[in-house]
Amino acid sequence: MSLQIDLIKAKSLKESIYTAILSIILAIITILVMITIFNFYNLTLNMDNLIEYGVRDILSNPENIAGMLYWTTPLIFSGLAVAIAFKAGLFNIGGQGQMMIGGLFSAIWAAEIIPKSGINFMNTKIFLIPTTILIGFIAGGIWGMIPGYLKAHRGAHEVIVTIMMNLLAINVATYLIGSNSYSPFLDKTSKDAHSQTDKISPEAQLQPLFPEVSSRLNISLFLGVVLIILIYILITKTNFGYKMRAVGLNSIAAESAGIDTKKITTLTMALSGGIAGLGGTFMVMGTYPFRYQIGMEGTLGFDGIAVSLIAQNSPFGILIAALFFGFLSQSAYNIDIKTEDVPPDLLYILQALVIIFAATPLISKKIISQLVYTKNFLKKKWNQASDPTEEKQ
Amino acid sequence: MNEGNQAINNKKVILSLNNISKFFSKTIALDDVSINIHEGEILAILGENGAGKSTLMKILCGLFKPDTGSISINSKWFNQGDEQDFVDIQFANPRESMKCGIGMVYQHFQLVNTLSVKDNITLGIEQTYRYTPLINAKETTRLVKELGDMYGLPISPNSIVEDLPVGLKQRVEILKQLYRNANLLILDEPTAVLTPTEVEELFKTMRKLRDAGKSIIFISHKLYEPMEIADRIIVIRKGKVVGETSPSQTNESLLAEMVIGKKILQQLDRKKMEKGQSILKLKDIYVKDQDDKEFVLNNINMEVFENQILGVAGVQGNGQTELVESIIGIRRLSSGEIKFTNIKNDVIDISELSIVERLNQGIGYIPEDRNSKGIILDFRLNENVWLAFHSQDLSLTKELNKLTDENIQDQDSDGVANPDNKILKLVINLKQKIILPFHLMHRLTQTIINNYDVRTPSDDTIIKNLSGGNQQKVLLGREFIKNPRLIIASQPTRGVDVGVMEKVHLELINRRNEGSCIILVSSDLDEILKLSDYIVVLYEGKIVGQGSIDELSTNDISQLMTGGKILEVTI
Repeated sequence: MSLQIDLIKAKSLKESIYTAILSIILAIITILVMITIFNFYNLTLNMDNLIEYGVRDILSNPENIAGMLYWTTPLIFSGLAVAIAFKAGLFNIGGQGQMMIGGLFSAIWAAEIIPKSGINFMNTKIFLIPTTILIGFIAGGIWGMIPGYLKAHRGAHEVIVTIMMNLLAINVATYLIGSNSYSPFLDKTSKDAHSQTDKISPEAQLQPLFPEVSSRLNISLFLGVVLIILIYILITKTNFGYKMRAVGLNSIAAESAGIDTKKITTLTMALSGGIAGLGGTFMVMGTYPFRYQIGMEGTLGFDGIAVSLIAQNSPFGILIAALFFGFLSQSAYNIDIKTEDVPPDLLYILQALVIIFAATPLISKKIISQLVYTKNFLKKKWNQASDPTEEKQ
Repeated sequence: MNEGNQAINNKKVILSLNNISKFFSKTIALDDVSINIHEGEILAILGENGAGKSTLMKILCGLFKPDTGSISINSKWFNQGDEQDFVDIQFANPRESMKCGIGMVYQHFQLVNTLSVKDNITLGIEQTYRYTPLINAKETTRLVKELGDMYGLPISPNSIVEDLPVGLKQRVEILKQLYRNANLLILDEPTAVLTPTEVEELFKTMRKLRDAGKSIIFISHKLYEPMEIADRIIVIRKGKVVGETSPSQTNESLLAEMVIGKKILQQLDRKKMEKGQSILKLKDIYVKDQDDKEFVLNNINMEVFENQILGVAGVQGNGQTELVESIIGIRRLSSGEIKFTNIKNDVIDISELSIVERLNQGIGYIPEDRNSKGIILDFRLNENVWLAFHSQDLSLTKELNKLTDENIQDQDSDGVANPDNKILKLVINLKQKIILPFHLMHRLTQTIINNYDVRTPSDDTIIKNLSGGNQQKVLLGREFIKNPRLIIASQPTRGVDVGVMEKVHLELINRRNEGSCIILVSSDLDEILKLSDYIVVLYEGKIVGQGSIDELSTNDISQLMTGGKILEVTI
């Protein structure tokens, strides 16, 4: 797990930013090379359309901006989940499963349990919205805590266990809403073939902030930003964050100093899972059709790993990385519906390339050191060149 | 080349380092160093930590490139041709230097523990059946055996390295280099991990190798070893060669002056003190290893008192780590009890408490391995200091504030007021539980920096940027400043130079005189003898001997350390 150690080590801010920007630039260069090769083989690709619908349209059309922010929101949560686990030296790749479970149980809470309980005062905005969020957090948290507990007390590697928990999450969802015969929470009245819960109570639905622009943008984006700030404070300013970092950087030293590493490991994984769970919850609460559908989260949980990787686990970096990924997703979506000359898969390739370059810090490190060297060399030359002229004067 | 020297030694120069300099960003690691190495001699290189010894050796074995200067070698000697002339050479990597016949034996063995001796020795240059990649085990065994016999270093080729004692592991390392046709062996602090008997064995080996015509560079920070073994001694200080001498021309104290550059401080004032009340009492301690199979501590009974330094002697890996860790609580006891007299003078059984609870009873812990157990290298200085305080009951904040130096000015005032309002009190308590007290961290760190002379740009420098000695000062400082009843110091001077070592010793003695009770674990027998009032010797997890410093002789202890037996080689 040397990658893991490498990622949580203290890096200068400059270095992280350079690495992130460089990996994006390198990815773009690579994709341009690819496009050139495609064109060479007459698989023509309309560059004008790519720029028009892939970039310009996204940044100028409010609807597309809203779309980009819509994709950004769950990525903030799944990215933060990965980043906070990394701080404690844990590699949570179970964001996907935690997101599913968070979304599923908050949907069950807001669509089945509360509306069908018949207790009216509970079916109000002021009660339902906070509790639904809480249920998502707790459900995801438990899903994350199990690998954390097993890691701390039984030494099971969290990567293996979180992968298993992802599969388990799918099966739990299938059991609860997948079958016509035995699933208790399947919406049997609906005509479409989705495995889905009932529509959640209107009281639990988050209203769009700018209904005239987009129905998909709601308060959850801002809650995500607030969460970023809270996590930043947690990591840098609090006792818990201090212990978390100590465990992440050197768990043996932390234990020798009396930090309860087992507790910290379990709690961090729970927190991480809870944050990922929130991502799923807000997808259910804020997006049409306001239900949990199996597969609705796509690969957003896994994409959180990439977001965190590019952000180098810095909370504020996650905002930027999530925006970038949101941009790519919306761009691919926009290209898909508006033009036929450009394959939207290109954007997904770009996304993957960015991840590859960010995951191999050696490449960017080498380039950075080469650039610094060249800069110094040129400076020297420049000074040498300018010195004689000064003497002449 | 350098005829004068040649005449004195009547031996051929086989390798010379000419005016080597090496810079690391702004610091000079080596400054114009020139050294000649002759055929068939043992050359000792002495110097403090950070004097440049290891940088020089790394240049010699190809890990670093010198910034200026050159290395020239006798081409015949180093398998580079038949003519006896000097060639300048640059080693791009360790492989190239190995090809030239330079073999480095590192302090930390580069062996694969689970493989057999012969596999380790031939690793990379295996004997195979002709035209196949299949390893010829018979031939390998024969070759390794032959090699051992040739140099008088018998070893059994088929035993697994893991099972060998340290002395034999080192022998495997040496044979590995000889197998690769090394003509110049570099031994980097080879005696650090050995018992006195094993050191004797090593010296015998070195003499045999010298007589067989090999040259050896021997690096050490113990002064008496070069006096015993070396033909020539070169002293390096602050990257410069400050002198060259031979054992017949010098003595230990002269050598020490050369190494440090000034006279050593007077002997420690270890005045005799009556032991006070009992602080820690271990009774019938049994501890099992991590796999829960064998006992690593067997029936340990010991007692430590106020005003006493208890030295735990023993060869590394004989239960010292386990002993310390079971007192701290990192390891659980299988049976037995630990009675501890805490700060409030209550005698309590701490064997069931957690690590934090034990530390909070008044134990200061200096772990043996600073980098992996003591500090967190990527943490700031103040964060590292806080490691010793994070668990303190925070109503003690005022007490902690008192511990700090009064000269350090308050930067802000989040020191606790004494509010009457209960709710306000609760809020303040809660705040202290949740928020890191940066202000207090700053004060504690500044106090340690002032009191222990830590050289650092500021108190929030990341600690890996400090030198090892300064890191150790921080570690000691943070444990001492807690004013603990019991200090467990495990290898407190490992990897620090002579200057810092003296300071650490002085501080430990001071603590003892002020009434603390100290358990000192060290693999350096000299350190134990210098500081302890009472000594216990551990061997294979048992206490095989104990007594006050006057009752035990050095000889007794070193006999006990090896289980009362002289180490013998079995084939």
